[in-house]
Amino acid sequence: MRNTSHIPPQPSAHAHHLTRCIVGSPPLWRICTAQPPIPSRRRGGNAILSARALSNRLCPSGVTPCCAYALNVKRARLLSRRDACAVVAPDGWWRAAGEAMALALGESGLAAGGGGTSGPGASRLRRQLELGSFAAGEYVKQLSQQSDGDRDLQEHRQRIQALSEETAQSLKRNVYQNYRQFIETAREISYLESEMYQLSHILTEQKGIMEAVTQALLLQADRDDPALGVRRAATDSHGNNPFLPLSAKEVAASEEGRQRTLTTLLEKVEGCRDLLPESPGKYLVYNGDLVEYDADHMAQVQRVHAFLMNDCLLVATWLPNRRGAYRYDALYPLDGLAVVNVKDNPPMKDMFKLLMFPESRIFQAENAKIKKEWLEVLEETKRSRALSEKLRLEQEALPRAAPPSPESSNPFEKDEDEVEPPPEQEKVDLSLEWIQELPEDLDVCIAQRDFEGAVDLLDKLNEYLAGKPVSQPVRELRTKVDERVRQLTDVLVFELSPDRSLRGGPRATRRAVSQLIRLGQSTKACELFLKNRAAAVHTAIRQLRIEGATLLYIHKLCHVFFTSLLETAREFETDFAGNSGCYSAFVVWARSAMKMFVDAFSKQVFDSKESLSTAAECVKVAKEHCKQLSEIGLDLTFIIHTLLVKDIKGALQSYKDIIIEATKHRNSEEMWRKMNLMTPEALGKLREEMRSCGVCSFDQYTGDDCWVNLSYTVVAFTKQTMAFLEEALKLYFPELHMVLLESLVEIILVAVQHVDYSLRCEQGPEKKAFIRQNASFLYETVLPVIEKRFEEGVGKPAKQLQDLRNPSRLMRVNPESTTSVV
Amino acid sequence: MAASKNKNQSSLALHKVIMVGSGGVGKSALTLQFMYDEFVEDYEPTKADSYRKKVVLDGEEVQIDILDTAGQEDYAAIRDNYFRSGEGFLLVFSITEHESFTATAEFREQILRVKAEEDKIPLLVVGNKSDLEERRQVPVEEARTKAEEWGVQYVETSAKTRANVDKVFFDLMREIRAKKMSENKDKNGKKSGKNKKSFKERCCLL
Repeated sequence: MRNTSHIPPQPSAHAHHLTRCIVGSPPLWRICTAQPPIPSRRRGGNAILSARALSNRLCPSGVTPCCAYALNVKRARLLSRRDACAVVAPDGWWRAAGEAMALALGESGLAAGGGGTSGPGASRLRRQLELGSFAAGEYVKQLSQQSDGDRDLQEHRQRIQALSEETAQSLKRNVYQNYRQFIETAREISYLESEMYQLSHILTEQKGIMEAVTQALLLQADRDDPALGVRRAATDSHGNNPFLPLSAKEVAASEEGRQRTLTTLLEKVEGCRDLLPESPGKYLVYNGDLVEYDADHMAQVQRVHAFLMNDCLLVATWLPNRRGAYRYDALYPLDGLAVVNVKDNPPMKDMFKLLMFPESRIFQAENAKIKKEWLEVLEETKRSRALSEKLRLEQEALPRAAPPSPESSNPFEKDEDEVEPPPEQEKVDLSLEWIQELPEDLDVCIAQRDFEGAVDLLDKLNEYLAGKPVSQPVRELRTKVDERVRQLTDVLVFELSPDRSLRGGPRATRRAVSQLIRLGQSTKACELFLKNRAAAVHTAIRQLRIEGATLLYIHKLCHVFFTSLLETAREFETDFAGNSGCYSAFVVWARSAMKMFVDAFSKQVFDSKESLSTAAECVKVAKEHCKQLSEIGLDLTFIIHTLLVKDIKGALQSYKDIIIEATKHRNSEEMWRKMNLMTPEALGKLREEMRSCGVCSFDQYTGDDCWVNLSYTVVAFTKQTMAFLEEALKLYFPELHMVLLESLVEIILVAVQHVDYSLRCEQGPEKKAFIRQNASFLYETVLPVIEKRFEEGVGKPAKQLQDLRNPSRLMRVNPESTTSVV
Repeated sequence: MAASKNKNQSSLALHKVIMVGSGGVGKSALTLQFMYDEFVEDYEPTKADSYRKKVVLDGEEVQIDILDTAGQEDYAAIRDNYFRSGEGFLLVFSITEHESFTATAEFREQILRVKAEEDKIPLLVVGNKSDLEERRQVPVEEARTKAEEWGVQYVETSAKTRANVDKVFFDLMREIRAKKMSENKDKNGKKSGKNKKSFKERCCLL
């Protein structure tokens, strides 16, 4: 029993599908009934219609009960089906649904009969299900009674399932078929729609023509009174001509409409967008299909579509495979276009000819009426075009004629006045080919990045226009060209922007820079060039890897920085040779670049507490590089000094502190003993060191073998101080004078006071003699050497250092020195 | 059949004749008389009409293409385009209107200007309305002298009586034909010479 209750929902679900289809889309249903007739079609049809009516009655929205039903069928699979459907639909509805299914099965049976997939058993079953009195419940009951066992039921189920699958197949087929038909219908509708659109176009055009005629008539009237005409034209342009029966708003709206129609129409023509400048006054007057013939042999050439605008005629050829799309063929300005009516003479019929030297083309209209329309509208448009042109010229001539004062007594001027009005166009002849094509050529040059070519063209134009009067066409050309110049400048500016690749060195920018200068934008070029270079220098510095010894890095840094600085300077000189005003900008730039360099330099040399000797070496390298710049007349040494002075001072002072600290530390462990260097080699080495420091009389203080008749502290102090002095002198520049001197004095005082103090405190005569020896070494050998070296390095003697040797001064400072021992 | 006819049509020589002259001198009347053997009494200004007809010229079937221009055409540029498309010209005036005769000089100037590159332009001066002898304003001698001065033929016609109508068209076609033949000869001669030259050049290139 469980099986039986399991089977039925499947066919009923199909019935439900069908009903839903019917309820949901009436057109589909209509096409359904158009299928080949089946035995129960009439009844089934009625039943379905009634089912539809029923469901509509149940729920106006149509689909809802079915959906609800489907849900419930799923949920109530194990329940009795009758109960399930009772939840949502009354008995009648269910019966109708069943019948609908029967119909569907009938159809599928028909299809299956053709395919021959189902046997006679299936057809019997189908007939059974098709019966009008078929009651699903009854059927199931009977089935369950008749069947003897599981297997039988299974077979039965399979049969029903096969039937339902066939039904589904045929339904699907039907749906596809209908869908195809639907698509075709939709396509047809869209065609109709486009035709309606064209119709509306034609109507708008007609309206346009009517307006043009009114206007032309008015203008013709105006011609009798030119002054009035001009005035009226002026009011015309404001759209409130009292003689036109259109309000200003209407005029504006119709104008806009024309514009729009033109735009939409031109979208259909391939390749005409660039050829047709969107001039505001342009509008479509007439358009239509024509057939072109060979002018000599009268053989059909091609189908074309012609668009008549108020000032030109566009001929476009049909694109095969594409409905309503054309390809640009030719554009003829109306002035000078000769239209010839070709008299009918077999095989020529409904034709007209266009003469536009050297071409002459012959077209056939669809019929005599259309040809007449074409001829008339061409004539009309040409006339109004000529009129408006004339009016425009008059208007232009009017203000031009005013300036030369009539009282002018110069007879030559008077002559000129008489000649003047017509030759306006001739005076500045813009019809030359290269001028006509100039804006386009400029576009091409910019697109091809042929900046030189673009600027050459501009120069040529400027040369040509120089000294020529500025008339309306010239002004128009100017605005066009100016637009291009702006574009060109933008492109060049972009070329120079630091976001672009910085490779290729400063020479890579030369192209853009020189073209910018030629465009008269030297300030901008200068600014951009320097900005570009700054970015390049910055990147170059940042790209340097900090590895290995500081000195190595500094060497690389200096090389990179000063090379690019030099290159930039040279390039600057080449590029801006004629713009001496830009040099100050360069100097300012160089200063800021130097600051950037010093930042990187200081960070590496001073912030990392490098030894003074390294720092001195680094600074020396930088200074040497800096000197090379003076070869090209750029001296940045003072700038590097100013920028470095603070750091160097700090470095000197901190090194001084280190020496003082070390000296004091050594002094605190002072034993006043002779120094034993253990080996004669070590002594030789020390001697060598002392000699290189400039302490020549050191030999007086050495003993036999490996002995030195001096205390270790004094020797160490001498070595350290002399080293300090050497390094400091390498760094020396006038701003550092005082710092260096004071540091030296401070350092020396520490040692001197120590010796002094020890001498006073020491009681033992032997030791005292030794100390005295040390003191004399300090006073008589070391201090003069320091003085001498300082004087050599700085260039002037230092009184402060001489004072140190002065015993009176020593005496004076002595009392304080007691505190110096830690 | 159609193909052969087409071929016939395209292979026929085509002579392009242009009617030039002031308004109302009878250009269209002459044309219509020549084309359809009819005389149209009422006057309606022409814009620009083109006619084509098959005729037998000295035993040879040819096509004549007549462009009947507007005497009133205001725009020189458009008139230039008309003239450029023609091979021979009928410069028509009315013997009853002296102004139309003086205007012919102007028209001729324009034709010469437009066709400047051609040395001899087939052209006939046509004095129309010869049937209106009683209203004559242009003496035959005057017109003939002028024509001689220009080195062209002068013919008096009447579109109404068809006097000399065929003659002017056929004489003009003969002139056109003669010019074309001499040009062809020239061209052929030149062409062969040119070919040789280009061949030589190519040799050089190789």
